[in-house]
Amino acid sequence: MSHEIVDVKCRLSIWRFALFIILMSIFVSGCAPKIRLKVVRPAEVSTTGIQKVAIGNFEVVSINRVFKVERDGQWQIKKIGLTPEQEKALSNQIRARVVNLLSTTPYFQLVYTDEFKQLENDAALQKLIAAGGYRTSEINAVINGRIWLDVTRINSSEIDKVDLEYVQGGRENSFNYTVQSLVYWPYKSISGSLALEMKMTRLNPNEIISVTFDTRQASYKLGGKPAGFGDQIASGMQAAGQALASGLQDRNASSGIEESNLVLPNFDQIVADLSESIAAQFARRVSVTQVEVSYAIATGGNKSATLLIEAGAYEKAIEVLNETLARADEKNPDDIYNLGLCYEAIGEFGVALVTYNDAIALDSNNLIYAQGIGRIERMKREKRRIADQLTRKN
Amino acid sequence: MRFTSKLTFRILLATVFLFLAACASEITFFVSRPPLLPVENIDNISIGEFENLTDEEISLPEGLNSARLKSRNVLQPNILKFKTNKNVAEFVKSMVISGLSTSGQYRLVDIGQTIATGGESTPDATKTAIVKARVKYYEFNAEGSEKVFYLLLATRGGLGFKDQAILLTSREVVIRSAERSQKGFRVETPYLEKVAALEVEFDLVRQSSGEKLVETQRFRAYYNQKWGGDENTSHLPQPLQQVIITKYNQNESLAEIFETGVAELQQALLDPDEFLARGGKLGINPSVVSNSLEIQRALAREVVDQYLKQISQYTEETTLEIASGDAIAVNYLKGNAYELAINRLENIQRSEEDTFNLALAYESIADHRQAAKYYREALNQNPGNKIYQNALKRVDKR
Repeated sequence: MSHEIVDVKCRLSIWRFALFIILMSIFVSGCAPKIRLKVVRPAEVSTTGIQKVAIGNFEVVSINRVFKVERDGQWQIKKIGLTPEQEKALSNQIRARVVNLLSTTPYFQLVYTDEFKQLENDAALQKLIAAGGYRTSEINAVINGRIWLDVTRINSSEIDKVDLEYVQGGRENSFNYTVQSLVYWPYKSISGSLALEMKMTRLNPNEIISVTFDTRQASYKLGGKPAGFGDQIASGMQAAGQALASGLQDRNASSGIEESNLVLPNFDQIVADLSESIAAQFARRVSVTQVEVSYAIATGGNKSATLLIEAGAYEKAIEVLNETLARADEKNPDDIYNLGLCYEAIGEFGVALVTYNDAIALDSNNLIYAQGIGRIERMKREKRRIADQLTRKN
Repeated sequence: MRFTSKLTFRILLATVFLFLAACASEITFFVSRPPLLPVENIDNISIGEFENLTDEEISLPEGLNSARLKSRNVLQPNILKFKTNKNVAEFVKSMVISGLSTSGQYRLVDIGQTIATGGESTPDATKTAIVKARVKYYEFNAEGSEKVFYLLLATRGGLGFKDQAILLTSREVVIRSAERSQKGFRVETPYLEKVAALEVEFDLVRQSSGEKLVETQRFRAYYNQKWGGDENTSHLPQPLQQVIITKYNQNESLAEIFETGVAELQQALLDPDEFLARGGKLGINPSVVSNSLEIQRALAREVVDQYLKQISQYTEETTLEIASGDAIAVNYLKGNAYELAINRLENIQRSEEDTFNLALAYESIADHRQAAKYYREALNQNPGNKIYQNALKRVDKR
């Protein structure tokens, strides 16, 4: 019962804190007339011409699974080795997470074949592809992976002082003494790290399209001495972020199984969480994604177009703005800028740049027009794919 | 309760400062920096051999000599040398490949594969560089217990705020000095300590001739942390531990913890999908002992990031001062539209300030040759200007 009360209090304070941050963000956004736009971001990894993909083997490079137990200052270290079958099962478990998440992206179709999975490692796969010796004919690319994993569990205790306050009477100048006492704080912790390299190889022509390497870590602790000030801030913010993100996420991925922070996750659960997070990142890398950004909107132009942009109806806004601009004898640069903003939001960066240039030609002193051009120039410098798109279009 | 309200107040204060700073009129530049080393005429990079060197020593941090390392509070075994005991070359290699594939400056090619397919896609060997590396890694894990002194005191409570604060502070001073001079209850206390060191030597050679494009680059990173036990003892001699902790360890300050937290919260609010995909759902408890792979990742990250800056273009967020020249060009620079600013400033009658701004724009798109040319031109017109001199120093390092 008391745990529940503490839990509710904790959640309340997290929400109060999150609300405070939101209010502050709103206050800050008052610095400039900015709105939140959902804009298209092209895939980091170009998958042009790839429709069908097979998933190859996920080779285990290293696994370290350790259990450290301490009693009365004596440590016992157990290294839990995995049999080849267990290693294979683990590799399959991680692979299954990737397959699961990739099967939800609409950009390519997964072909379920074991032909590439049976190959032991990357060298064998690359050899087979180079020689053209594969039987499955309809696929365009193969994804294979390499795994590094470390899961360490510790059972031990920390020693720290606590202040025991003795109060008699409770009034001012009454008998009140604080006595320090030494307390053993037993704890159990688990920390997991996973590094996953994923390579996408095109079959014809044979080339490596991308190699991504991501690492994730997670750590949980039950018990132990009370956390310090910095740790409290870090974990408070982390909990607030998780509560916010889960609450705001469109599709709630909750499985219906209640999780408790009074139970430490086990090995399989940690591996599942780590691999799911890396797989989600990979799925976003190979897909066109939508991100929410805060950009300045020009307010001196067509009001209904502004409303449409604020509502996220970019294509309709383009239609309205094009009509307005075609009718006008003297073109309003704010309308032209907002048109550029719509093109940027739908991922037409080349057209957006040309449009922003048209706007700034009419009003060279406008900072938000310059910022529009600045954004695209920056993307062009940092992302090779966008640079290619702009070169093709201009 | 009092503690919670104090905490909220501090967070409120810090947040207000943070946001006020965000509203200030400083101009943020997203500057593309060219590679720190002159890697010229290279379009493609291929990954060569990453070799594990076994039974070799990793040099100690600069200025330290193992023969002279002595300390009183050293736990046994005493570590004076970092002798390679683990193979991590494949891990470092994967990190280099992924870093190069996202930097966007070079096309990453696999020579073996492209030659196998032959034809048009074979990269020009004179414009292809091969990265090779020799990797040394050392790791030490200690699990033990040691006698630690704890002095316990009784103090008077129920005083006013000021008196109570003075009393508690003096109590801490008394306890610390007494425990340091080994007074108090001796209690067997468990501890864990981890030490790690990574050294990588990178070579970049031209595929056609095998000549080194730049000198061999050597980078090192070290790690040491202890959980539990006496905070004044270690398996490392004190001078070595001090250097590792102050120069290499990644402990975040309170302000940094807060800044990271705010950035993550903003991401959770603006883009929950991205937040979760980046591992936002995974719990991180800062007081949990780091595992080996986590330390390996942190050290490899440090070394690889340093190396990639040497050979590949990177972007940096920085604040720079703009001169008060042509208003339109100044507006372009404020909007980070550097190419547009260059276009304008190249085609107008330039004042000394305009020339400086032109150089600034070139610096921002990583064209340091042009930037140096125009900084010099501005400096010729106004030789004593400190801002121009500093700017020229920035781009004219090589």
